[in-house]
Amino acid sequence: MIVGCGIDIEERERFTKHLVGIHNSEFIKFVYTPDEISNYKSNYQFFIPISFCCKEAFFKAIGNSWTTSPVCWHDIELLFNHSQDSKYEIKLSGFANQIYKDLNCPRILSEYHIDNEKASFEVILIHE
Amino acid sequence: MTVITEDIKKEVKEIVIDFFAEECEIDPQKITDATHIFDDLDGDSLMFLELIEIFKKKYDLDIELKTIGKYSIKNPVRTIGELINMQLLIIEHENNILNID
Repeated sequence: MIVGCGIDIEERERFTKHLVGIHNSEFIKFVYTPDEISNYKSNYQFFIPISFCCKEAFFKAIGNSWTTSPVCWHDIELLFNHSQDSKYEIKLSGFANQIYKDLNCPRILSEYHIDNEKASFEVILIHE
Repeated sequence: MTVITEDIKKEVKEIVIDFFAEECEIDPQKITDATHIFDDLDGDSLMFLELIEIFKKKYDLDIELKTIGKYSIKNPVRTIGELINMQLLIIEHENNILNID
């Protein structure tokens, strides 16, 4: 049974201005954890938009967002294992993790796509 | 604390409407206070964050995004009118916005 589903698509160009002076960007610090920023350093242009879509898609899947509940951007981390091509982990903490537990910890199915123009991420929460 | 004048109110409204008209590729004349940001305009979090950044720079505001996040939890913004009112409160109170009634 699917208990939540979320998808987000963003134009990669919209993140470009935040990547200039990335370590002083309030937007970057607000949305991404230090671990994520470090994890993405090999290619910010690639990972930052994907990660944003992941967080937004997860917000939609759990039916909560940073403007309507205590859930915050840092509660959802997307970390890539760079030694294994395209492998990644979604780490939950805080209020997002609490909601996830309240949903009885469904399996997280996820997938991302990225091309020269757009990034997207899909999250499905499912009990099997 | 900034005193909100009629000129500021007019300017904030213009900035908000022009921003969404451009981002959402819609005629600004069709955007009213009652326009729903998410349902009618397909607005998203990134637009919301970008607009806040625009106002922070324009009015040299001392307010953190996390403060606005906390304020939004108690005062959710759904329409253009609500967003304009929130921006005016941010300009007026900056980081003290959480202390207002």
